[in-house]
Amino acid sequence: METSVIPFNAPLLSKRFLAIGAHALSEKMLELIARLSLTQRLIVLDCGNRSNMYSVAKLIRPYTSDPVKVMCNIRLSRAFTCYQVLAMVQAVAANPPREPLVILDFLATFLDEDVELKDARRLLERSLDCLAALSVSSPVVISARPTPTISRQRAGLLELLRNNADVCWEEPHALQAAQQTQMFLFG
Amino acid sequence: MITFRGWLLDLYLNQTEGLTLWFIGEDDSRVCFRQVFPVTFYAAGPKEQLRSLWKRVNGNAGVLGLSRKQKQDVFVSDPVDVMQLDMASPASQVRLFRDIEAEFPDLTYYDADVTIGTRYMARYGVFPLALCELEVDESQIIQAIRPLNTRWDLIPDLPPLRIFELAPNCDPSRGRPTSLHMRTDRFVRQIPLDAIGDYLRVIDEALTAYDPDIFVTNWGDSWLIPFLIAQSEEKGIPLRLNRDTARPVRWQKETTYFSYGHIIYRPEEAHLFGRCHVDRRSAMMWSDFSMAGTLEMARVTTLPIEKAARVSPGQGISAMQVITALERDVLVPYQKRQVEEFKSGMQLIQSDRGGMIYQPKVGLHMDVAQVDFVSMYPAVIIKGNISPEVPLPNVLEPAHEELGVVPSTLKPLYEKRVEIKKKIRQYPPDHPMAATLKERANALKWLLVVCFGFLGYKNARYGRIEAHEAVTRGGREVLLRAKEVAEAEGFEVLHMYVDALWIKKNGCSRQEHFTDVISKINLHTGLTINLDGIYRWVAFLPSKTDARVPIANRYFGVFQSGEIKVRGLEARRRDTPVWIAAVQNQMIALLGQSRTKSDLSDHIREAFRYYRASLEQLKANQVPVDQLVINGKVSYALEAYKASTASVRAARQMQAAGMPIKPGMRIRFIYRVGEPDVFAWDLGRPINPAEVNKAKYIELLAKAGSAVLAPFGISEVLFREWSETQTLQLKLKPYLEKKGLPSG
Repeated sequence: METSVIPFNAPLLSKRFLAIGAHALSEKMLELIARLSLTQRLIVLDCGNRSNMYSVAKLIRPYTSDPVKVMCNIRLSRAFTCYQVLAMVQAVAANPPREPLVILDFLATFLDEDVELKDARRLLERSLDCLAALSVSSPVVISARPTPTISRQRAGLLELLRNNADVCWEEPHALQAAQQTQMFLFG
Repeated sequence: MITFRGWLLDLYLNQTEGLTLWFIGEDDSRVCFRQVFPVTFYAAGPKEQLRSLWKRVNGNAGVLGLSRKQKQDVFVSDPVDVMQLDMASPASQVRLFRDIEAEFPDLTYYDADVTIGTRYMARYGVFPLALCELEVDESQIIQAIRPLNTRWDLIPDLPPLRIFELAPNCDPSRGRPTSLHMRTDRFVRQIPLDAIGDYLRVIDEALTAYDPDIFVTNWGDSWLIPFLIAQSEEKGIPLRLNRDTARPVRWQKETTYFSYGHIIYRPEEAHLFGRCHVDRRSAMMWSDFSMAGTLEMARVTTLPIEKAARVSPGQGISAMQVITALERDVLVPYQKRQVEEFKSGMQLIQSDRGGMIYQPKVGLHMDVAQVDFVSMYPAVIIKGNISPEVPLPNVLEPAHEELGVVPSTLKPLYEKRVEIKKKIRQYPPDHPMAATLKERANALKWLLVVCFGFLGYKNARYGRIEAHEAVTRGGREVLLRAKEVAEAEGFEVLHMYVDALWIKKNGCSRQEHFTDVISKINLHTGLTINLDGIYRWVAFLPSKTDARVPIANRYFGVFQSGEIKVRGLEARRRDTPVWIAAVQNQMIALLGQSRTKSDLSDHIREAFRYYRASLEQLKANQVPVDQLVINGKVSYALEAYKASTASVRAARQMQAAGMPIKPGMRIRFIYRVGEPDVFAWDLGRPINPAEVNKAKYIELLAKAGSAVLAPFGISEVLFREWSETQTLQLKLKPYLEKKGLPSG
């Protein structure tokens, strides 16, 4: 397995890392989850229905004789609305963990048109406050995707997220474009 | 004080007393009353914020009282401290809540956005078309009301509804209507759309004289009512569409939403006061359950008739769950904040699965029985007591005695549908009562179908992903148990699909041959399974790309009754042109005439001859162009598309012509030769039949035809080549011989 699936230096420090790319860099993030799970426990917050654990199981299989044990290193919860994202982040922050926190497709639910932009922004700001507190004691790796055209009036949310990250990596545009037709070239 | 008996037709807010209610009297009168209707909602959160809220709202207009209470939140084990806000009327509650939600966004609100019909049902047990007894004072204010029947009556006592139909003589998006067709049980008229506007007077007089309860239209939301209102204003001729003539038509905004993997567009809706407007073209499920089903949906869900006709059944289930919660004095959350419990990666793999599918044995099979579980997922929810607030069952064994909100809501619905289905069997199939009961059963079926999906829906107030997963887990277990029983009884299981099994055994071809196995499955699963029918023959189809790979739920066959069943074929797809669907259906119908394997060959030949004749018809430009329209869809705003599909290209033509395109809209088009390669049908311009891209339609026809003949070994590629060129020779004889069928 690729040892540096996203260009953040390992071991990850207690900071907020943000990776932006097409499909919220799902494949790369799952590789990161697989890599971390081989050696330690981690927490995954899935905000965009991206936690394909079959893929993770396949990735770890060549590197362990006990994949079930490794898969149990991953503790995961999914959120389907931005209200749930905030509740989930608050719940984690209430008992700050030592293990890394990986957040998949963080902004997906904040783009939901059913939620007014002012409410989405308020919920995001509060979630980001929690993540700032969490990143003091453990690394927080967040993935997001570029704001889709249909949600362009919410582009400010990505900007807000970017401004609240300690380290930000963005997939080059050319690569993003290529991914529209041929995905998952990493690894 | 007078006593009045009648059926509730319409209910809406007014700014003075609270509610306006329209009734159909037992004496056939139409009467309007008003009612004072105070409402309550709640706020919870940090004490200092609640204190600020108290200061903010105390003494406000409409606030009757503020108090501190302990109430039950369905997702929290202990009662929660809440601030109770008692409001004078629903209108004042809506106003205040809108303000305080903006000022105190971090508080948790309950019972804040419950619709008025739902509140009314929970308080008085009164629902649309409920027969009621009222005590009314001299100012026409209701002082007391009680229902005389329930939502669960099998044969409800319904009022004699006056239904008024009005429709343009053509699809307004395809051409300019020149007349309107007006129909009631007393008269039928064709009214020309003249320049001076006499038709407005005719309609207004007819509405006044007939005084309808239900105003049924075609394209009423998107064209007819906006047109009539605009003409009425322009020509200065009054048109009283509402029974409550003091009010204008209420417009509900257009919307686009995501439902079961599809983007759905709903145009603006015209709602009336004192009577109900039902636009058949906007009524989502009209083709499935028509008027009787719509009224049944309104009765059991308590949604207004206008809404029940238009919205997805999910909204109905949601309303029913809220009623159950209110009746139990459980809080109704405004925004659900409950999150999924943490699970390991391994647990997610084990739990996040769908229904059980056992791939079919591709090919033709004789004397196959299809057995289906009756409303399997609702039955699993009820049997396992699966609800977000109670412990989840151990597969099918409930872990909690008292039924939760979700199974409590479903149980009477499930039982009513079972009873209606029994009742249907008491009538001959062509009896009008049987048709009405079927429509009602269909409405209930849709409510039961969506209840499972709703458990996992993000915005469902009483949804919880773990509960959703528990239902599929129960379903898989039930199907596996059924398979084991069938195999122990010597049956071969050919296919399983979520809640159905296809089984066969040598010598078993009559209903009584399957009675034992069905009883044993019922016994071992605790759920009811029915014999859907015995196929004379059924063909399970392979993948289009690899003939060795079976495809679940893609089959066709003919029951012993002669009824044909088709799944997963072009004829079932909404985007298939009606002519191609008809050719495919007719080919299957011809095959369906065969009673034994030995006479199948003759019917295969007949089906092939029919196909060839249809092909010739297409090549000779003899197929009406409107029968070739493809019913496509755009799922996103047009600018979001990077690749251009035929639907998108057609939608762009419409946009260029000034027609607004919204995600989820259906886009009808024709494939044409040259550039542009598609022709947007709703541009309303005529198309020359010579412009139709015949090659494209031959390809579509060949796909549909080859799907029917594939089980008999005829390859799709060869069939398509033959259809396109007809220079190849297609001889059926060797294929039939290979399949062991007489080759003649």
